[in-house]
Amino acid sequence: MSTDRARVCRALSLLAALLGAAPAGGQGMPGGIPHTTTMDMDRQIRVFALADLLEYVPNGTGAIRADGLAWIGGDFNRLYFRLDGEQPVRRSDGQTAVDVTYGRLVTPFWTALIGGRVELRGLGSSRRNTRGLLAVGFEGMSPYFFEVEPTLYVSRTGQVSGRFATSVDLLFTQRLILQPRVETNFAVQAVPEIGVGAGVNDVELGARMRYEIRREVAPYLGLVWSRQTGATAGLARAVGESVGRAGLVAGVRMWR
Amino acid sequence: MTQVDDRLMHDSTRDPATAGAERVSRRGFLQTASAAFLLTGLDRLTPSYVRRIAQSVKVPLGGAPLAPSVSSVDLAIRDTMVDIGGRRASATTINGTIPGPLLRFREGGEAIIRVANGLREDTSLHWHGLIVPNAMDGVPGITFPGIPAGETFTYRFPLGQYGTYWYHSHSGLQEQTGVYGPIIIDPVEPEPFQYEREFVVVLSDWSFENPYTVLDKVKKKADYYQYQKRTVGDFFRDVDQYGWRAAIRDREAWAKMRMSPVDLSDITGATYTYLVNGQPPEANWTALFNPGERVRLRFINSGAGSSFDVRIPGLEMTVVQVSGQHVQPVTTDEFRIGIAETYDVIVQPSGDRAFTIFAESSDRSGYARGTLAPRAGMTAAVPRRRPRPLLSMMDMGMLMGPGGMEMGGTGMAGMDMSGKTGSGSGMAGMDMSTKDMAVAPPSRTAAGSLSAPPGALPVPTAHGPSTHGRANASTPMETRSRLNEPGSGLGEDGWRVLVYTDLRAFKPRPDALHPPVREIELHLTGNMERFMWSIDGKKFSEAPEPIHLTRGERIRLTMVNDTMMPHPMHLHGMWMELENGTMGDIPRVHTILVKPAERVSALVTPNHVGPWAFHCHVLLHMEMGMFRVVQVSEPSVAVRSQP
Repeated sequence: MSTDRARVCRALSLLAALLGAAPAGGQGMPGGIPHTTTMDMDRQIRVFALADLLEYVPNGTGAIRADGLAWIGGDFNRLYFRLDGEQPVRRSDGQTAVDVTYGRLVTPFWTALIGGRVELRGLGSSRRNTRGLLAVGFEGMSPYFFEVEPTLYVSRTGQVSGRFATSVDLLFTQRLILQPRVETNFAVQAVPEIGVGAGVNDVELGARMRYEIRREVAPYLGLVWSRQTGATAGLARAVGESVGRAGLVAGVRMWR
Repeated sequence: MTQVDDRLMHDSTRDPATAGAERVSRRGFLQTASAAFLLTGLDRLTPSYVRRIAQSVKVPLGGAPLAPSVSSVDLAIRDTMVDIGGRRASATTINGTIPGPLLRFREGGEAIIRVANGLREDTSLHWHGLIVPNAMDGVPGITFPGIPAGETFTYRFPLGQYGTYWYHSHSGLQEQTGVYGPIIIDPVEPEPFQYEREFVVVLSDWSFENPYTVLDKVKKKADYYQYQKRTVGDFFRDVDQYGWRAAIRDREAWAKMRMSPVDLSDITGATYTYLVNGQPPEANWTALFNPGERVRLRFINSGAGSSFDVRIPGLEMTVVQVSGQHVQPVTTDEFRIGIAETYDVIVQPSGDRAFTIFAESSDRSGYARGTLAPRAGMTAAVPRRRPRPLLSMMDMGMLMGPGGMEMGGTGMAGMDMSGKTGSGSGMAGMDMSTKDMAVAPPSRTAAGSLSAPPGALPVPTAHGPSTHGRANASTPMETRSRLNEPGSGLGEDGWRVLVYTDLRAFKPRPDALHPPVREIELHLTGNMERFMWSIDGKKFSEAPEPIHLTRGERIRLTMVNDTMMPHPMHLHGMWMELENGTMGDIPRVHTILVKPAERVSALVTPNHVGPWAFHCHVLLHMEMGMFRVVQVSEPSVAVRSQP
């Protein structure tokens, strides 16, 4: 138990060092007076985790949908984790993508991200398919307070795809907040074996109204409309899948 | 009572735990014996001014009796359970109370203060506004290593000044959890004003949350405590009132910049309880007076994150001291006290009625309250809080037309910045408009220049090409002096509000007209999204070069606030002579509340060698990096040999 903890501590301090954070004990001030804890606070390492979407989608047999973000790091350099997935409740063909990227604050409002993405399809089924991708993108806030995350992905065989998501908060009261959200995926080259056609693959529009019981915990109800488009929709129709859905979702937004 | 236990502090031979309550000077004893006998139990260990009902001794004409020339005090800092408005809370205290004991000294004397650290972490005490030898200034990591857990450090320094000051921990976030207290240094020369009674009024903010949790929350969500944002409903109300075009243009102007017009404070009444001498509003700290007496109130803002707007409805206040320094008396109805500032006012309540001391937080999310009353238990109406103000295009630093203000937005957010709300000088009886003409800002130039005479206001100046990098989210197009403005949310109520241009040193200071030999310009910068605060875009941990000064040289320190928040900037170890257009009457201050998009200049002549701290006194802004070292060195031989 204690050795585990020591290992975790060592790993964290190594990570901290990599991220350019305050080493324990601090460093000396010019003039030889030892630095105390006081002046090291502006480069502390923090850990943030947000489940932006964590919701039940009642369409079809019902599914759990999640979109989350986590980071560990300081003000300028962070390690980002992003998870985007959906798992049907009664079928075993969910899909999940995890991005692990290094993020560096490059302008006051924008973080540049570079790293990798793992896509898992048909989770728990015989059609299980996994692929790894290079991920390059940005995360930040555009003028007019839109949270934006455009990301480009390149597969090992050079296929290029991308994801773009944006949302904005509209305050009805200080705690009752409407979040319109747009997400789209696209691909430059078709990857038929995973049901991806060239062009825009899908578009999702959502409007979720949350109530912040505390800032960190906000249950919500939302309306979501999504549709596969173009060649991707064609591939889905070919295997008898539906290409669109619309309906109510219910979930909770949480962070710490 | 106030004076009694304070003088008691000077005897050092006893246990510090009981200092401040049991020791009664022979002179004070007779006057207060009856009051003291009513106090029992724990109350006896409490400095009188932090008790709920405070009754000061009558002050003899010509001022308070002087403390001994060498004053010795024992202070113990430790974790303490305290009671804030009936709720138990874990605090760090000095001698067991929040605020700590009032330290009363005598100008020209010497202070010996033994500080015992009973915490499990380092601590320190800094004497805010006192010019002391560098090693006694109490900034860990800069002037001394700090006081380790379990150890005692003895501060010893001469008292070369008079006035109202305060002291606080400079370690971690201890200031937020209670390590602060007031200081009075009685002047050797008679004061140029009279009063019969005096009280210390320490304003502060308390959170039941651990301050490190508060910090963590704002680092992850900077507007965590902001519950006064504009809503969809506000938008439609503005549409009704100003029309679609104006409402949209106003929202657009802020949204384009990704700035919020309600960012007046980071930490708000959502977590803060605002205190008067350690008492929350419900407890109603009460100061007793006899009708007709002149009462001196020594206001000190010991908050960690709050500016207060102070008024006493029904009474006008005559400001006689600012930053511990005598000023020409100015009569006003309200003043804004930035963090770490002190304002001494004299009021003359009459009649058998009570008066509310009302200190609204500048973002209007809460208030501190006390009462002035002829008898204990009397109260006066507590005013309603005013609606939270909005920052204006002026705060954004939009270019202003030569004829005044061209609102980039609609004007609904705009504050009138004319001098009409300023307080007239009580002595000269001049009204503000006349005074304004005397200090009319000079015309705009490309850049501030050394040719500006000492004491003159800085001229409006376009922002330079540097935007200070990723740590700074906004740069105003133009910055200008705003010393004649009362600040966001003030000046629209039909009563007088003190402004910095009202302040004149009590005695003309011809030496102040000595021109500076060079000018240092520092930009106050920040990135609210990540709750990063910095100077010239660099956090302190990024190890920026110290600001180098030479002992005895006269420099002009120009501070430019690139952010949308006011920053109370404090310079240790030397006075800042605030260039507020009063030329030879330039007032000396230790802290300046710099408004958004403001350009402020101060003349500085350092007399003590060493590394001195210079920082924003919003505790979290300082800890997040809005901090620099000002290194004062002996003049080199070459400089010294010059005529």
